[in-house]
Amino acid sequence: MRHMLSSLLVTVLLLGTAVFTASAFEAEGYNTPDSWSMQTTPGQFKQSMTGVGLTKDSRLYMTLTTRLRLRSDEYADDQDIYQYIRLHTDSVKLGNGTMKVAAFGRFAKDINGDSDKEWSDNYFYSQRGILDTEEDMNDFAPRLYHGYVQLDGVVKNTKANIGRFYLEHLNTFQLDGADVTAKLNDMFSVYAYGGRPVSYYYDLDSDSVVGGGAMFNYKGRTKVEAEYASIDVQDIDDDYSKFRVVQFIPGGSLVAGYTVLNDAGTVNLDFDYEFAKTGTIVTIGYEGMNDTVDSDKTYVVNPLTYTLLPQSKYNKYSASVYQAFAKYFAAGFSYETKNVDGTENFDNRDFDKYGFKFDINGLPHPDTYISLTADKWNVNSTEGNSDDNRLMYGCQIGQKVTEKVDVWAGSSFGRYEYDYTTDKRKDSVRSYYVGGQYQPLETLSLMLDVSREDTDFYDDVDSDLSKNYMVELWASIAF
Amino acid sequence: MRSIIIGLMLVFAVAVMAFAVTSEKPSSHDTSWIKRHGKASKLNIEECTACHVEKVSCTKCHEEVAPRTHTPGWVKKGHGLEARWDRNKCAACHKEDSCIECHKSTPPASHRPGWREPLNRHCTTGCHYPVQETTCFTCHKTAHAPNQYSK
Repeated sequence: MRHMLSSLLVTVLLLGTAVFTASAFEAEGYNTPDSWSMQTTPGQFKQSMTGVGLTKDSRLYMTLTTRLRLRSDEYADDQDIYQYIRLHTDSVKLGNGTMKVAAFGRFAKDINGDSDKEWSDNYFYSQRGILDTEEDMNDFAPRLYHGYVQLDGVVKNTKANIGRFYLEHLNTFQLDGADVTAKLNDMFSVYAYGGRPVSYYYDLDSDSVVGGGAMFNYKGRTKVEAEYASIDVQDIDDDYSKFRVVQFIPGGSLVAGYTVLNDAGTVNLDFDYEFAKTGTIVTIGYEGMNDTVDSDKTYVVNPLTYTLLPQSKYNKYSASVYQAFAKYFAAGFSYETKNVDGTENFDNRDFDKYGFKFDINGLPHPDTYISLTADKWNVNSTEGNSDDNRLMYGCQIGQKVTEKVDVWAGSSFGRYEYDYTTDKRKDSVRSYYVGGQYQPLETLSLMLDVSREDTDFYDDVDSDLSKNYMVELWASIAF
Repeated sequence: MRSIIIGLMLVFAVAVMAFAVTSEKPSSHDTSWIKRHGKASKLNIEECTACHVEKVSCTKCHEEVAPRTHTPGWVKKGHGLEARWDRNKCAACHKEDSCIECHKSTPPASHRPGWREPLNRHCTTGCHYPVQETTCFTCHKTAHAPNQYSK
C-alpha cells in the first residue's frame, strides 16, 4: 500500500507543477491510446488496410505475424516461436448476394524443447506451459481459430457461415459446421446451427452441438432473444437454453437474462449507464444461480466442475462508479460480493471484492495515459479452511510518442494470504514490464516487450527460485 | 521510491518529446472499458466488428496471448487459488478441456521423489478425508484411501 500511496503522491505533486496546456479528450471522451491493450496482453496482429487485388471489385487482406517468446529463471530457459496468419476478403458478388472468406490460425514450436531443463533434485520444470501440453499431442501445436465462408443474401434474406467460426448469437460456441440466419422481416429473425465443438485438446469426431433461436429487434432499441442448444460431447448430453431481453436507453442499457443448464437456472440483471453531462459511468449487476451444477456436465458449458467440483447455488451482486473530473482525471470504485446459498466448501465460498482506480488522461502530454489501480479480495472461511485474501495494486503508463511509435510500462504488487490445507501462507508477487512498438510503414509493425516477475510462489520448491524474465518480440507484416 | 521518481521523470521526458496524435477509438474506450467491454460486446457485436475485424483482437487476448497477470508464478500457484475463489472469472476465456489436459500432463512441484511409496511424503497429516477438501482432488478423483490413485 505504501508503494501505491507514494506513487500517487509523487504523481500528483509533479502534475501540480506541470504547466502544459493540453486538450486530452476528444468529443469529451476519455478514450485510451490504440496501444492500451498492450497493458493487458502484449502484441498485435496488424490489420491490413489496403489488401491486394482479388477480383475487379474486391481485395484480399492478409497479415503474417511472427512472435518469439523467451523466458528465463534460475532453473530453466524456454524459447517458443509462433507463426500466425490472418486473412479475409471483401464480399464478392455471388448470385443475388455476396460471399466472403476469413481465416485466422497459427503454428507454434518450443524451439529448445526440454534440452535446457534444469531438473535439480526434483521433477519440477519451472517453464512448463500450455504449449508443452499441446505439443505433446500435436507437432507444431496448430490452432485454427476461424476459417469460414460467409454467404450473405445468396439465398434471399439469409446469411450463412460454413466452416469453423464463432457463433454470434446468445451462445458464442466455436464450431466446425454451419450457422444459418433467416430474416423474416425488419424485426424478426430466426437461426439454426449445427456442428462439432472445437477443442485443441480432445478428439471430438463423434460429438455434436445443434441449436437454434429467434430474435425480435425493435429499431435496435429493444431486443428479445431465445435460444436452445443440445450438446452431446464425450458421452454427456446437456440441454442448454438462454433467454434475454435488452433495452437500450440513451446513454445506457438494461439487460435481463436467464440461462438454464439442465435443471440449474441462472438469472442475470445488468444496468449500465453513462451520465454524459457529469462524466459519470454507473454499472449495477446481479447474478443468481438457483440450483447446484453437478460434475457430470460437458466441458463446453460447465463451470469447471471436473476440476473444481459442483458449483453450489449462489447470489452475486456488483456495482461500480467511474467519475471523470477536472478535465484530466477520473476515479472509479467497484464492489462485488458473492453469497453461496448452497453447500459451502473449498470451492464454493463467499467473498467481497473492492476495487479502486485513479486515471490521469492527457497529462503531461495529450497522449499520456496513467492508470493507478488497487483491489482487495476477501474470501470467507469454510469448514476446514480459514479466510483467504489478496491485496493487489499497480500502475500503468502508456504514451503515444509519434504516429509510428508507442511505448508503455507498468508495475504491480500482489499479496496473497491463504490457507493451503495444512498451513497459512503469505506470498508476494511483484512484476514490472516495459515495451514499445514501432510501425515504420502502414504495413509493418515491430514490438519488443520485456517483463520481470519476483515471486514467493516457488518457496515450497526452492527459495532461490523467485525471478522470472520474459521477452516478447513480434513482427507483423500486412499485405 | 527512487525507482518511482525515475519512472515518472522518464514519463515526463517521453511526453516532452511526443507529438499529439489523433486516436480513432470511440470515447467509450476509456480505461474502465477493460472491465465493461465484455458485457457490452454481447449486446451488439456488429458495433465491435466494425473496427475489430473478424474479432481477431478478441481471440488474441482471450485465447492466444496470456494476460500479464498470468505470470509463471501465477501459473504455478496463483491460478489455483483464484479459480477456487471465483471460477466464473476463468470462464471468460477458459473451457475446462485446457484445465484438465494441462493438469494431466504437468506434475505439480510437490510430486518429487519420496512423494509416494516408500516415504509417502504426500501424507503429512494423516489421510486427507474428505479428499474433496484438498488440492489433490483437482487431479485425483478417486484417491479415497491410502495408496489408491486414479493414475
